[in-house]
Amino acid sequence: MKSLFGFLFIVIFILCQGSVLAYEGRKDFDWDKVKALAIQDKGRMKPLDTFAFESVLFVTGRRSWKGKGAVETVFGWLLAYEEEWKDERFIVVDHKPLKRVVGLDENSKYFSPVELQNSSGLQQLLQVASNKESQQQVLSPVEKEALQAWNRWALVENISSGRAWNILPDPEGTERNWFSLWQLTIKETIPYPQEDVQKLSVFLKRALTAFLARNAGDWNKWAVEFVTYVRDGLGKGTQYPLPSGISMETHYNSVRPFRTAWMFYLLAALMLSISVFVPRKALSWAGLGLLVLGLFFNTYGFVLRSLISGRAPVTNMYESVVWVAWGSVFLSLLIWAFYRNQIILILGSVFSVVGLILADSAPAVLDPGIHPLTPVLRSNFWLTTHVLSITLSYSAFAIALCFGNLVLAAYGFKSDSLKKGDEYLNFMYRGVQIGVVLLAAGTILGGVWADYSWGRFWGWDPKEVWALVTLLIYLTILHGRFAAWLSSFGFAVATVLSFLSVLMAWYGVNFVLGVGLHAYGFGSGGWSWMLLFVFVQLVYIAICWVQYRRKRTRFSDSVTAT
Amino acid sequence: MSVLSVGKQEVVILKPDSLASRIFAFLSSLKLGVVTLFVLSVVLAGATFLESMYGTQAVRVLVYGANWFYGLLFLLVLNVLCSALARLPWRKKHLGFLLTHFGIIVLLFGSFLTLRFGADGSLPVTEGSSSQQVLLPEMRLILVNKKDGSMEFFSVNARAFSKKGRLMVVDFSSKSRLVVDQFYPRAVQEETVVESPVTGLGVPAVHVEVFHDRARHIRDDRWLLGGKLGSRSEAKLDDLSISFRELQDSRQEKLFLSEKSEASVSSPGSRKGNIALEKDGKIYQVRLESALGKWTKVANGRFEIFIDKYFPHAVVQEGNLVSISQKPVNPAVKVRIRGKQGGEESHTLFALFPGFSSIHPSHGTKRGKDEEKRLGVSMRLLPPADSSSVQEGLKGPAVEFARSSDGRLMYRLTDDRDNLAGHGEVEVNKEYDFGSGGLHFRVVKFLDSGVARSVPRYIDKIEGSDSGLVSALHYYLEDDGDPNSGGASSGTWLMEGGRGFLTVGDTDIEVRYGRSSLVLPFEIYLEKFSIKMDPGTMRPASYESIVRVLDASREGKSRPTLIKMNEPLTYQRYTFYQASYQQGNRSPSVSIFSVNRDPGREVKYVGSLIMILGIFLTFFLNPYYFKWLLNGRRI
Repeated sequence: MKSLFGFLFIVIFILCQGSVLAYEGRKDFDWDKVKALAIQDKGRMKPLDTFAFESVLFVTGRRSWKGKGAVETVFGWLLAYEEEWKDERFIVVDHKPLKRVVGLDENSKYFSPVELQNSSGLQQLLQVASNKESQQQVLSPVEKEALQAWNRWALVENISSGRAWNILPDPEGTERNWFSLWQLTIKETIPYPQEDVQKLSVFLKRALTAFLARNAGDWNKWAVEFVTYVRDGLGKGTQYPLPSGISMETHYNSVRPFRTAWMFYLLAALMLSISVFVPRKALSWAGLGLLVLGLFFNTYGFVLRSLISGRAPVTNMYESVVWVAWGSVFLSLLIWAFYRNQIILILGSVFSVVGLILADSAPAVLDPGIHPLTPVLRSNFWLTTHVLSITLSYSAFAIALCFGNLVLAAYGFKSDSLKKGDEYLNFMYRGVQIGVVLLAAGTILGGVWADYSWGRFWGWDPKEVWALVTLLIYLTILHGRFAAWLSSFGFAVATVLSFLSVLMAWYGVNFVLGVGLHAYGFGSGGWSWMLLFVFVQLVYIAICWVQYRRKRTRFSDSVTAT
Repeated sequence: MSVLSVGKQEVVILKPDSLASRIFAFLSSLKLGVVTLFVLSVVLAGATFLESMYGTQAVRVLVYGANWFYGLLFLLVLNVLCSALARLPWRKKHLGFLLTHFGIIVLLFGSFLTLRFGADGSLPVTEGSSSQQVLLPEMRLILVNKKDGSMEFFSVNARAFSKKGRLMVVDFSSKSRLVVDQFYPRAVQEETVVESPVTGLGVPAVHVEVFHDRARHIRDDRWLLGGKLGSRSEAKLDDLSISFRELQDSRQEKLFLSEKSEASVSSPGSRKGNIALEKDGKIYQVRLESALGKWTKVANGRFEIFIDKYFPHAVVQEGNLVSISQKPVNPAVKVRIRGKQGGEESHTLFALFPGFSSIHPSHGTKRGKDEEKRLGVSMRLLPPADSSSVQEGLKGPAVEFARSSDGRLMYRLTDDRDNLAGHGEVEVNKEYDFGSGGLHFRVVKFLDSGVARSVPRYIDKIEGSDSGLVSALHYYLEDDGDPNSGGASSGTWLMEGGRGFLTVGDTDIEVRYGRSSLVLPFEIYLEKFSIKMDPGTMRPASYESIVRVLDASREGKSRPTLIKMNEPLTYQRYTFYQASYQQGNRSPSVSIFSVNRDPGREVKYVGSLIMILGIFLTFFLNPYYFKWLLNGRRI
């Protein structure tokens, strides 16, 4: 009897362990086959891969959850919600004031679906917030965060119930609303033959059993069977997304070309920097080679993204950051071709690395998702050219900024480097020149686009105005230099400061002002980082200036002494 | 050192050191250029911040459309022009610089043409009709003489901020005139209740505010009006129901403050509920089943009531009331009632929306002729107490207000389960707690005789955008002969699109306030407006209008043309862009086009091209490559 109890105890213990073990991922499960399944989500067809990545990122703020890939995680929500996820703390609620107000544990970053559902404080706040939202009143930050937390919960709910799984194409055309797995359970709402519905249900049930039992062999069989049936059986005759389009996107997801690009840029920058101190031809060439390789991946990513979305990828903050990173390497190579100075390449690639890492690591601020555009953006040549031109000018100004800072250090700190400073000043000047041409052209092309889309060339929209302000500020310092109002040092200071107007035009209008017709690019977040950058930059200028003044007095002292 | 010395010797037109030459030297100086550029960029940067605070319209008045701003631009043009002239005679090396400056002048000249001779407005067209009236951004006041139909137009100056004072005066005669004394550039229409100026005209009114402990600054408020004796006005704030009614005698007051609530009176046993009938303050109830399809006596035989139809789950489909299920989700009845002395009325009652109760003239009633014959009853459909699905809709705490017969304001508080949670006389401005859930209410104002007014509320700092806000002005008639006329109290507020009336002597005058307009020489007929969505979402992918141009001067029928985002229609130098739309549930769609005529377009494009070419030449082909290009010499 005793041994029986002991046995039962062990069985229960092992069962309990099971749910703990669940978080170590499912070995030998083949996710590659299922990730290419097409799903209709947020207005476009995408592979399940992308859907899973975007969903997991939105809900948890991470690309994967505790070692489980995104695809495995969303399948977990669908198939093993009750068993494994209901009480798992994985929904990110990271807003302290909200947690304080609704009485959630302030020290916890993640919460389980059940916790959120049972938080009466959150429910009450949501009621107020959604009431206000429906009356189109302005929400307080806490209310916005509450709705956001609720949207995360709701997405998990929709995925676990099958409502979000719109993977069954309408036989009358893929442009129509697809059917979800949830609708599969209400058979009469799906216009498929009964046998198809039957088969799909059987496949799904077997996959579910295999998933829960962690039977990799069965899962690989039935999940693949299910996917194949959806694609080849149901998809036949409809304009089901071509496997090539889907596989291109899964390829894009797995390669992550922009990450590869910054790694190469970083290596190139290191290699080139070493070769400055240890001059070896081989090192320089290797650095150049790495840089070109990085540029290749950067370009490759662009081409892939354009092919997937069917437009030039310059329609949101993320894409413009990636494009500016590309541009700074491209333009630094261009300037280097004339002057053959490695410093140009180093600075170009360093800036690019910073930009790409930012794009890669802050998905909450810079959304990497590919989404359909608002109607006004679905246009044409002028849209693309004006944005490309303007953002490329930001690259040029960024190079000028980097050189400006270098000039400040050279004038300020190194006693024998006035000549070096003059050389860098020339590169900086080139950067400003390229930037001004591109920005002037881009601003005018923007006018052409506005004329074409809205019926006026110039409408004093904040985004337009800030492009113009940036242009005017750079023109001011160029003319100021020409009028000899600015010394070489002053010119460098002015160039560095002018980049703040680029930041305002690029980031500030969308994120700070938040008004105007360019509202489709608006977002929030990252404000404190931006302020930190500005602060550090100002302190740096101040230090260099003090140093520069001290050096000059010393110099003039020594002149008067002799 | 001075840049002005470049080519100075060749300038022979002006005498050296004369005033003209000194002015020219100033205008052509590079330093003026630097200062102008810098001032312009600071002004523009500031303007965007002003815009985020006060909106697009305000910043147009303050900066972009202001004369000093045009002056600044003109100074820039002068500087650009003079600095080019100062370099006479021009040489090859000046080409880039000259092109740049010439391009800027051409560009700004094109903009001037647009500003001076162009037109920019919006044209709303309703589906299935045509329009030729383009609304312009400028506002105007129109006085229509009702006697002879003549009209007078007065343009109203745009302003950035609210303004008081004698802003506009229109003389009718030497003694009487219309005075505009207040202007709001951005306002929202607000329904409010004010003390009735004439006694006996108003009704009792109470202004209630509800807020939550967690967010005390967020307050939801509502005016409740008493009306016909015995009727109630109700509202829902948050998940709280509030109501207000008038009590007629002390018996009712006793009942009001007692434990038993009115809603719980409905007798058990009725599956569909009861109809409560109120006449002269007394409540009578009829079981729904008993009156279904037959005349049933109520109120000691003073009335008879007949239920035509019961709708457990009522919805309006194609203008008709139908029931879409047997579940009592939204119970409603169609009921007829007739009095002993004759007169028959037909009502539709909704259990969840008592305020919705409507009277339809029925065949038997001759309304209008003898208003007194109306029965003067008010009825409510009370759902069965045990029906949980209906109770869902009625749940939540409730506070009832009532005005006692001697003019005091009483309240009565009930919780989720309809238990009495508090009652008594209301103290104005005191915060009352609901006991649980953190909800509070406060009576802001109690008027014994109030009238509803719709007035504009001025919005100083905007939140997000000023779209949806309209301007408003206040005017009054000033009459020297009449000491009672004049002053703000006698005037009228007009919001954009509004109209008011004046009587001057024996003439009636209509006052209209709205946008000035431009009449096109042709009409635009809207056949169809449609929105295409992204697959699987409710997000618009494209807005499309199919229109016809109706031009009387042209023979034959025009073909339908598609206008959509980025695909405008151009006709007779006017270009029509899909700008916006309005779509109602039952009304036809309205497509709003942005209409534009721009005589400066080509000029601006040419100027831009020249300028870009110039900048390019200045930076990259000068001095090294440019020489090589022109002289064929290598550097």
